[in-house]
Amino acid sequence: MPGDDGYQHDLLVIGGGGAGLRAAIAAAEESNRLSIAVLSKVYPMRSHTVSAEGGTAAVMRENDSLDTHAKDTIFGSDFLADQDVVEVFVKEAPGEVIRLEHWGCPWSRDPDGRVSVRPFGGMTVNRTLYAADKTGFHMLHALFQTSLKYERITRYDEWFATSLLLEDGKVCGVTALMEFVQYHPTGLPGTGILITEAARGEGGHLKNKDGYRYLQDYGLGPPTDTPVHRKMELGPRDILSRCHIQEHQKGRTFDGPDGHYVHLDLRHLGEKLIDKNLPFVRELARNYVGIDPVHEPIPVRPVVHYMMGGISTDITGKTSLDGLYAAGEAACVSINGANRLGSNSLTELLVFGARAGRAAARHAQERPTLRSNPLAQLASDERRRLDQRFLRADGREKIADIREEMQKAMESGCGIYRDRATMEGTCQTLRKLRERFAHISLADKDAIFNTELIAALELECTLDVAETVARSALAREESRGSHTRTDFPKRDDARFLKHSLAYRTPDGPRIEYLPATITRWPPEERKY
Amino acid sequence: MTEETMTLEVTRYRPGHDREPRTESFTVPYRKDWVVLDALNHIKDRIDGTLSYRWSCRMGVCGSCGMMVNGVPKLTCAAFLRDYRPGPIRVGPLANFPVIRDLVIALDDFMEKLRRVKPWIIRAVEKPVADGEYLQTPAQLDAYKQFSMCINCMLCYAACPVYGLEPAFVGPAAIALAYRYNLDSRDEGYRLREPVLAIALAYRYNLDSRDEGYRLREPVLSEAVGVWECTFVGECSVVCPKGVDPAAAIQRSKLAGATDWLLSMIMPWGGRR
Amino acid sequence: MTVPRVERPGLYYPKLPATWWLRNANYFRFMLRELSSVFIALFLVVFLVQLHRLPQGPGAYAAYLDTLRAPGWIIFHVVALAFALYHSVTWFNLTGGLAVPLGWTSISHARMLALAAQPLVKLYLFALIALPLYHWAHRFRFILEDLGLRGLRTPIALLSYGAAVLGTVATLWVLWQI
Repeated sequence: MPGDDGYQHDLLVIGGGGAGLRAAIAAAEESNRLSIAVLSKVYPMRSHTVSAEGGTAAVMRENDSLDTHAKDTIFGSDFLADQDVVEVFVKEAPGEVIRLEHWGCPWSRDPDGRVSVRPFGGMTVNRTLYAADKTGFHMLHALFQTSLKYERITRYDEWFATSLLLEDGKVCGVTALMEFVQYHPTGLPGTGILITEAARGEGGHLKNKDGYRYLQDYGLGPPTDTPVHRKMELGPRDILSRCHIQEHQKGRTFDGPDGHYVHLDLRHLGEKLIDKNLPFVRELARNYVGIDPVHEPIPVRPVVHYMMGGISTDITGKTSLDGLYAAGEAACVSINGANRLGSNSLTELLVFGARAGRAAARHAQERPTLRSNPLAQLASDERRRLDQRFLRADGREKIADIREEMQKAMESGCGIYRDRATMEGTCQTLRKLRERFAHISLADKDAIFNTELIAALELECTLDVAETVARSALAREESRGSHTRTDFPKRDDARFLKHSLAYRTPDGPRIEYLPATITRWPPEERKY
Repeated sequence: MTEETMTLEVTRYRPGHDREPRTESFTVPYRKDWVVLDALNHIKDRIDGTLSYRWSCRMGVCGSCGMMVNGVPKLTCAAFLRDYRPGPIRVGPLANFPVIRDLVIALDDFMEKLRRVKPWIIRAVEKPVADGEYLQTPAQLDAYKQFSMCINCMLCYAACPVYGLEPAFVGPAAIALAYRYNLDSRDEGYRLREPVLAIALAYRYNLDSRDEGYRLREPVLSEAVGVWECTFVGECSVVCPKGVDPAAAIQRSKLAGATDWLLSMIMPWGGRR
Repeated sequence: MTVPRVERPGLYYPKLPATWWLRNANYFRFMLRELSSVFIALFLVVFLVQLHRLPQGPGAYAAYLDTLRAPGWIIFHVVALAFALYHSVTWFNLTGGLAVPLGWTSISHARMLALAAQPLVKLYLFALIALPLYHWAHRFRFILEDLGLRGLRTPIALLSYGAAVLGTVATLWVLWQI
């Protein structure tokens, strides 16, 4: 009930995407006495899960095994994944995708009525379930619509969480592995809109400006007409992105108004297959680059796609902060290590969303109720902080300027290839941008639907995240997975088979290390 | 060399200050690959930070950015400036909805209707997860697939004059979603969705001399303005950016409802599905 | 609006004007399609009267057909035909008013009486005339509502469906007399 002490619930889920909704449902099923709130800064069906396309991996067929899925994932992570977590992940994945099927998710089907699985990058066996090429959309809508069944889940749509109010003392939150930013090799130039890996899973080819399937020059060959697991276009994303950059350095990419690109050729797949399994790809290419993939190759280039890093959690989703759990892309458990295999993250939402939801529900049941008075005081302090920082009259910096300079600094220092000098430059730029941000000026001072204020709050968070990425990257003196340094080109297990943990300090992030958990797969050379 | 520009005439409405919406003109650079959303973002970043509007994925799958562009409901992330040259382009909030501010409308009514049509799988007995998936052939999937493509952008509500005249109308997207579940071979919830969709079953019980539930159903009947309100204008399907064809879903629901009602009159002992 | 809406303060509630159907071509074509029901209903009345003349003898029948040859009635039939075709090509045969003067078909007293007297044909004629009346009634009711007269829902419904019922009774009475 709303009152002076705010709204009261036993459990609050921040974020109404795939992981958040799955957690809320898991909590509702764990206990029928808990009052659960889902807070989402957009209406849940707008969450970014909706734009995922390719698929959701799980062991479904007799020719597959949990160990194979685990090995593929660990190999793909360049051995930085926590292997005990990966073992739990692959074990719970099949149950989760079936549960989602029971909840109405329209998985594509084989003629006998079983859910279909397709090949995907870095996977040894076909194990990626899919709903045409709008898997994230269908999963999100299935989860959201199912969540409407539960009366004990109350939603707060278009609510933005500004701070966590803590009853005793301050905390510096911990994020892990922030330096690992995944570039997806096939995005459209200009807009950066994603062309799903499934296009390559179905047999698409990547060609340079000479029409040559260049991936064979980088140890991913030999080229075959139909896709072979883990070879050529089904290699892992970090390697494919690096190949693109190297082709560009050799002068073999196309040049366009939005930068260099190569061709993703789907013509040989035929109109019938494209319309059945890749209809969204066709629609996106036509709308945004005016190309019909049935007749012409699509221009593509690597685009920033995913953060392997996130809020550090244990195997149940618990963070270092009592009562706080995290799951999904926002968390780092870690199953993805230094590089994520495509179609593992949608599964991650389900498996760890459920685990974190259940763990949080159990915690809420055992916990005594909080005293509301301190919360009221903390809440009004927060309101005053926001008023003073953002709604002041004497600001002089524009949000868009700071945002664009941050993007430029990150693209230059934390891109696909990195080196010390550029990274240090980026760190310095980010520090300066933080200082400038203190003088941000907002034109919009209204209280109702002030999207400029939200943009400022998000920019503040993004600057924090950018700093942890840059500092962690600078500190990691090796190349592993998606973190590639020209000054340290080799992987260094002796020093760096560890997670980078970033702690907040007034002078910027402090980096510490935590060894990765190795169970049954000792690190080996990562060759495809 | 002067850069080519375009003018956008944007609806503004400031709650508490304006009694009615007004129009403001902005000049933006013309880029041939820009969409109206890019132009709005440029206005917000560089000209007037107070302009409020919704957007998210900018690739036509999240449904956030629906607005009226030259009087037609469109996703502004898919409305290319080049198709409106030389302009000016009128941009307004989605029609038939209450306006919160500028280009932002209130969706509460739609969200409530979404919930009321029970858009989830309803079964008498659930299959244990350990027993695997419900088998569903590609043909069974095709039966409802088209109606599962709705991104909840509500352009169809903006196009529907019935919704404009009668806000209690359940509306195209909600009906299409209910129909999607009714057609899903795994679902058994047709009866439970009927009162909201077609009220035929509710009437049937009201007329039954043994029944005494009239008072309980009265609120549903007067509120649940279901499929029979539709006069098949068909504009919903014209503006739908995802080819869902809600008009077809509604007409087919009418047919299904009428057939079911007739059969229940002729054969009251028989159970449908 | 039949269901009163609770309006929250601060929000702006736009009102759809009664002239909404003039806003674009699709809406306008929709209204024309709806309007076709009026012309079809009028034609049904003309046809019913024609049938009514059958038992009154060849003289009365011929006199009625003579009236239908006036230019105004020809135009009416052309317009009604256009509307019917516009509405649905599968709609029943409206060409009586045009095809007969052109000699495409015969509707002589003798022939028509012979046909219409048969029970099965009467059943067919009943379905042909009475059922579309309900279609008209349904359409007409919504035309009035779509023009914004939602407050008078009940009287409009009574009027439209009531008229269709009256038409059905009239049809039964006319056919009974043949």
